[in-house]
Parts: sequence; structure tokens; C-alpha cells
Amino acid sequence: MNQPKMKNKILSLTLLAAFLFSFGIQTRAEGISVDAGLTPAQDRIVVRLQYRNMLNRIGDNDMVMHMMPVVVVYGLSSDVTVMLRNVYRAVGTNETMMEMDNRWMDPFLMGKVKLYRRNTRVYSLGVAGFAGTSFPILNKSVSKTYSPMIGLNASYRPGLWSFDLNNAYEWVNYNTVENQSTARQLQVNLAVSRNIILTGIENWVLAPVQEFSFVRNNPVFGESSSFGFISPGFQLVSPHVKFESLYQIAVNSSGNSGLKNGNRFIVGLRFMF
Amino acid sequence: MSTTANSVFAASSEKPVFVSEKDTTQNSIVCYEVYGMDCPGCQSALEKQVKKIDGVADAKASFKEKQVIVELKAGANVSEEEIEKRIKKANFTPGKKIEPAKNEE
Repeated sequence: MNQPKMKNKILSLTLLAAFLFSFGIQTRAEGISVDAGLTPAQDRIVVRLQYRNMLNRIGDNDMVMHMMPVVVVYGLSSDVTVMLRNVYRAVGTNETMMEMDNRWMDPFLMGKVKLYRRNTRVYSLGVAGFAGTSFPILNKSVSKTYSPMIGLNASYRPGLWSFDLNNAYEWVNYNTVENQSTARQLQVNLAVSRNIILTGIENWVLAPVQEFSFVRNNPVFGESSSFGFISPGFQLVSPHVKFESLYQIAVNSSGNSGLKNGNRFIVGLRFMF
Repeated sequence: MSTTANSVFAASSEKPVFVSEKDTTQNSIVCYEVYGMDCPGCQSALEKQVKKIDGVADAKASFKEKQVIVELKAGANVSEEEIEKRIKKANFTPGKKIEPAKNEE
């Protein structure tokens, strides 16, 4: 193979990897992860609706998307929780060469298992492991791939403070025929919040949140890169409804030459039954 | 929820059982310390679990007071063990049986 052909192949594979990888990063449920290490009660049902305004850039070209994840969580027992998530994507501005349409993405199914929980008068500490994957049941699924993910979450609640550390490792767009994924990704997320009891409003709590997210992406083709978000936000919590909002300020590494993240705005509601 | 405590402790049984007085139509109250609740969402999760107990008329949990107040139907037999089991199913830890904290608000 001569040099120009080789160069073209590497370029096209890099673009393909960036294209496939973009689906992975758009469908994650990052943001507002302040109950990560704690499994909910048995028979607890949580329905989470969100709107995310996301800006990505490839070179000087912007890509704005409106993502609307819907998450349903059920406590099978006090130790085991199942979660099903799907995301509707509406494309706003798209100045890139990528073809994007408005559609439901592949669903993601996850199980979370309580590994440790200690509740005292002074603090609560919980550790939970999880495993899940997106699976291609929709006709428009990208390359009929799966995105398996495993992780470990820890939550520490001293008094009115909350510290939640989430760690996940994802095989992005794993193709069962080719027996490889587009990228391997490490995600680390730390959320700190503090409950402020609202006097005069019984059973409502305001909780300012500060999240720090880090993602290390190792694609099969192209260079590894890192990016992250520094995300201030807040939650308003009542016994059955939780309102949450977060502004994610993107921090891209210098080695991130392909797809770059812009800032994101998240607003959401959780209903707890 | 009524704050009149009409329950008597049935010491003869192997497991402690709260028995509402049979000659009254009034419900009775028991209260437990509960550890692990940190928001109003935790309250509703615990209340849902405790209300599943046969003989429980109502339950009010408070993450601020770290307690759950359980209202038993008149004449209902509810074991301590059953209440503790439900607190654990909500992923919280039961503490001592206590007098309900008075809300000053």
C-alpha cells in the first residue's frame, strides 16, 4: 500500500472512530450523581426526566444537540436495583459533516448491587457496584454495537453534607463481530453537595451541588485524550419530587484534537414513588 | 396522626409485640430512631415500606429528627421485628424505640 492511500485510510478510520465515539458520549447519564453509592429501598420506583443542551465542536464547526434522557429505576430488593434508560436526541445546529437525525438512541440497561452500607447517627457510607450495557434493539442502531460498562460508586454523608464518587469503565460501541470496541473510556465523577433546610417550607430541601468529572478516552484509532467538566448546580428535594439543574463547564485537554466538548446545561425532574 | 399512645408491650411473647388496647377504637403510636436518612426523599421511601405492614395505619418519617412515627390500627399486633425489617428494607438502620420528638415549628 502506498503512502497517500495509507494516510487516507488512517484519516477515514479516525473520522469513523470520532463519529461512533460521539454517540457514546452523548448518551451517558453523567451529571447530578449525588446518590450513586446508595441503593434505593425495595420496591422504590424512580422516574427521571432530563433535558440537556449540549455543544460539541469539530474544528470550527459547532454541533448543538438537545438530549432528553428518560430513566426508570426499580428497587428489586434493598440490595439490587435495576435501571433502564433511553435518550431522545434532537439535533439543533450541525455544521459538521456528520449526518445526525432526530431519534431515540439505543436503550441502556443497568444493574446496581449494594456492596457495603453503614448508617450511624453521625454519617452514612455506601458502596455499590454496577454493570450495564446499551443494546441495539432499534433498527437505526449504530453498527449493531453494545456499550458495556462496569463501575464502582461510593457515597459518604456526614450530617447535611454529601460526597459521591463514581468510577466507570466503558467499552464504547463494542462490535461483537469484530470483537472490539471503538474506544475504552474511564470516567470519574465527584459530586459534593450540602442540604440546606428551608425554613417555612416543610419537607423541602435545597442542595447546592458541585461536580467534577474526568473522562479518559482511549480510541482504537487515533490519539488518547482527556476531558472533563466542572459543574455547579443545585437540587430542590421534596419527598416525591426532585428538581435538579447543572451547568457543565467543559475542560478539554490539549491532546483532544478531534471532537471537543463545549459547555452543557442540564435541567431535570425526578419522581419518586 | 394522633399522638395518644395506647399501646401496651406484650412481654409474654418471644419477640416484642406492640398490641393496641382492644377496648378502644383509638389507634396507637410507636416511634423508632432511624439512621441513614438524609433528605425528604428518604422519608417517603421509609414511609412506603412501613405502611406495608399489616396493622399499620400510617407512618411519618423525619430525616431531621432521625425517626419514624408509626401509627398502629386499634387492636393490631405488630412485632418490633417486623418494623425493624421494613426499616432495613428501605436501606436504613433502626435504632432504639423512643418517645416521638415534639415538633416545635
